[in-house]
Amino acid sequence: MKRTKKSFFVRLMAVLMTMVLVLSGCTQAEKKTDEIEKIKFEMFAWGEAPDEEIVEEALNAITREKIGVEVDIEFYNLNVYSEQIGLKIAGDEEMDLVAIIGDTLELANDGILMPIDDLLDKYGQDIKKVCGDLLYYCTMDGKNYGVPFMGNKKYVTTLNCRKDIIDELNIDPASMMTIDGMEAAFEKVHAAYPEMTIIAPDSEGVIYGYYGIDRENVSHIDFLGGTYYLTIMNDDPTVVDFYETESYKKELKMVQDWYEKGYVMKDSATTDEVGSLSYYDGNLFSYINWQNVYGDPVEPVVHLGLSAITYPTYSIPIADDVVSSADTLGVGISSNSKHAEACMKWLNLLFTDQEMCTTLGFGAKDHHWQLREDGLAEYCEGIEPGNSGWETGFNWSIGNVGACYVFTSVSDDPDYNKKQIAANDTATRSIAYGFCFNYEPVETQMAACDSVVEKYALALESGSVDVDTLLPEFIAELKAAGIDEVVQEAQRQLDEFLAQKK
Amino acid sequence: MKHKQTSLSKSRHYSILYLMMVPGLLYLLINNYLPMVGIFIAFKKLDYSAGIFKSPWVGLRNFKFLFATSDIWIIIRNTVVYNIVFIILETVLGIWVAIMLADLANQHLARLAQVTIILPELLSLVICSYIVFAFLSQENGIMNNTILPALGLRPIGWYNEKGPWPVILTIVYLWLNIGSQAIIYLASIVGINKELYETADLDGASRFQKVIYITVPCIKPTIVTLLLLSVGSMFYSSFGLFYLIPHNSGMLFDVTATLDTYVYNALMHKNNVGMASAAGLFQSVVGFILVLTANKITSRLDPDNALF
Repeated sequence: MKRTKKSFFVRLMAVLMTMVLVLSGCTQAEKKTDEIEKIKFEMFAWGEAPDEEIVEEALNAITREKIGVEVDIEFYNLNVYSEQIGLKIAGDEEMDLVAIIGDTLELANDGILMPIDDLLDKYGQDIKKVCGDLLYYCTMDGKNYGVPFMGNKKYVTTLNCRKDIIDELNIDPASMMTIDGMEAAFEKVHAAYPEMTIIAPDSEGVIYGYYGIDRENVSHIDFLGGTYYLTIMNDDPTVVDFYETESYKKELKMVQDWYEKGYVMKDSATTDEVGSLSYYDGNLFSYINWQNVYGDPVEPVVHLGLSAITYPTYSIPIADDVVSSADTLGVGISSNSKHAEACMKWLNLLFTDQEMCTTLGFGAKDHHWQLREDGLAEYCEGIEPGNSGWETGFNWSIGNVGACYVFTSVSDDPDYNKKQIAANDTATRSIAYGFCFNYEPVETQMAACDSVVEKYALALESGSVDVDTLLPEFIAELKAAGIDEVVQEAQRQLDEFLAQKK
Repeated sequence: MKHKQTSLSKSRHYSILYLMMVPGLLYLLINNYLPMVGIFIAFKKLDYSAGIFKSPWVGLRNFKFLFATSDIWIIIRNTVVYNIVFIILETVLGIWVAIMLADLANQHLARLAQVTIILPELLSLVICSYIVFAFLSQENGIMNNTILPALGLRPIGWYNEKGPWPVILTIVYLWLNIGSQAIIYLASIVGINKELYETADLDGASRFQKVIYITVPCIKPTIVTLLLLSVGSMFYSSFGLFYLIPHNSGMLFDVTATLDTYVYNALMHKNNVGMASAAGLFQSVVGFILVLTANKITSRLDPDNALF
C-alpha cells in the first residue's frame, strides 16, 4: 500500500490507453551535419516492444537526414519504469532524454533533470509554438524542467459503473452526477445485489479521498504537481493542507457511511489487491478514477476503455474537468547528458514531423502501419492493435499528439486530434499549472508528514475507522510534524510563481 | 617420528585453510566494509547533477527527520521491547520444546515433530502474512466469521485495533522461530552424558529436578551464545514481521512501527539517499553500543562466554 505519486498516474494510464490523435504540422528541415550524434531515450509504455530495433531504425532514417541525430530507445514497461530509472540514477548512469510520468517533482528537485529554457530558445522554437502557454509545465524557482506532452490535457473525475445494472434497475445515469443521486443509486444496487461490492478503492486503497469531490464548494482542486497535502482549491491562490479542509472531512464521513452500509470492501485498507480489478470478475459495481476526457464531459458516456472489455461501462463525471498542475506527463533532459542540444533538436522535430511522431507511437511506417490516400493511417495487414510488436499502449505520451496521423480505427475525421488539443483552451485551467514545488527547504518536515499520512490516511479513507476521533488526531500529528511550515513554504513559492507568470 | 615445527612450516601447513578463508573475507570486505565509505552521504544533501563528492554538506540536517515527531521514542521502545520479549520467550520455549523432543521415546514421532516445528521457518514472510490474513480478514477471516461468533463475541476490526497486536506478533514470531532454536538446544541436550540422568533416577530425582539440575546447567554455554547473538541485533527488527504481517496498517503503527519500517515509510516517497543513510547510521551506532553493553555484562557474569 504505498502511496507514491507514480501509481497515482499509473491509475490514469489504464484508462488513457484508448486515445489517439492527429493533426499535421509543418516539418522543418535543419541542416545536415556530417557527424551523427547518438542519444538515448528512456521511455515508458504500457506494453511490450519486441520490434524495438525496427522502430529505432525507422526513426533514425528520418532524423539522421534532417538533424543528424540517432536515437537509442530504452523501452520499459510502465510497471517497472520508475524503478529502472531509479536504478540508473543511483548508478549515476548517463541518460539523455527521460520520459516523465508524475515524478517530475522529485526528478527536478534532486537535480536529475536540467533546466531547459536556453535550449528551448535555441533549438525548440517549434515546441514553443505548439505548446503555447502550456509550455511551462514544470517550473521550479523560475526555471522550466520539462517539455509537456501535448494532447488533450483535460482531466475529470468519473464514477465508472456497470451499464447493464444501471439499465436493469432503471437508474438515470445523469442523476448520479450528484452525491445524493449517487448514493440513491448505490442503495438500489445494494438492495438488488447484496453480495456485490458497490464501490472499490484504486491501486492505493483510495476510494474517494484524493478525488476531491465536494462539488458544491469545490469545482476543481489542484494537488500542486502531485503532493498530497498541498492543494489549492478553485482559483484561490491560497495553499491549504488538504487534510484540514472541510471537504476532506465530508468525504471521509461519506465513505464511513458507505462502509457501515456494506458498500465497501471491508479489507480495503489492508489488502494489496487492487479493488477495482474485481470489476473484471463482475463482483464490483463501480470505481472512481481520474481520467482524460474527450469532448464535453458533462454527460455520462459509455466508456470504451479497458474496463469496457468485460462490461459496458458508464463513465459519469462527478467533478469539473480541469487542466491542473498535476498533469506531469512529459519529457526532460538528464542533467548528466552530454548531448543536450541533440536531445532538444530531436524533440523539436518530434513535435512537428508527422511520420516521426506516428512512428514513435505506433511503430514503423509500412511495417506496422500504412498511410491511406485520404491522409488517415491504418494498421498493416496482419498487425493487430494490442499485439503489434511495438505496443506503446499510448502513442500520445511523448511529444505532440497533434502531429500524429489519425488512425482509421479511432476516427474518420482527419481533424480529430486538432480538436482534442483545442479542447485544452476551453477547459478550466488551474492557476497553478506548471508550478513545481521545490521542497528542499522543508524536506525534514515533509518526511515527517509523510510518515504521519502513512499512519492515518489509508484507514480513514477506507471508511473503517471513526472519523470524529481519528481525524483531529491526524491533523494534530501533522501539525506536530511541521505541516504549517511546509504550507508556508509552498505558499511563498507559489506566490513567486504567480507573480512571475504575470 | 616427532619434529618441531617452525613458524614458517606451520603457516605453510595452514596455508590451505587461509586460502579457504579468502572468499569469506572478500565477502565481508565487499559487502560489509566497502559500503561504510558511503557513511559520509548521511551528512550531505545529494545533488545528482553535482555528484556524490561535490554535493553540499548539511551537517546533521538529515538526522532531524528521525526526531521530527515524538514517534521516535515509541519506535525505539517498540524495537527494543519486542526484541527483549522475543529473546526471553524464544529461549525459554525453545529449551522447553527441545527437552520434550529429547524425551520422546518414539524416534519416528520425534523426527516428525522436529520437521513440523521447523517448517514455518522455511516459509516466506509474504506467505505468512497471508496465513495471518486468512485468520484476521474482516471480510472472510476465520476469527471474525467462525471463532468469535462461536464464542459469542463481536467481530473485531483486527487491522484497526492496536490492542491484540503485541500478542499476535509475538505468536507469529515464535511460530516462525521456535523450531530452529529448539533444534540447536536439542543438539546440545543429546550430547549430555546419559549416566547423569541414570544417577539422578537412582537418587529419586523428579523429572523437573533433572531438568533444572542437569539439563539446563549442561546447555548453559549454548544458551549464552545464542542470547549474545540475539542481543547484538536488538536494535534491528525483522522488517517482514513488522511490515508484512500487519499489512503496514497505519492504525497499528503505535505498536508495530520499528526503526526499519519507520524509515521505509518515511523515505519511500522521496528516494532521499541522505536521510536513508542517516537513519542507517543511527541504527548502526545504537546497535553497536548495545552489543558492547551486552558483551560487557556477559563478561562480568561469565567471562568464558563473552565474545571479546
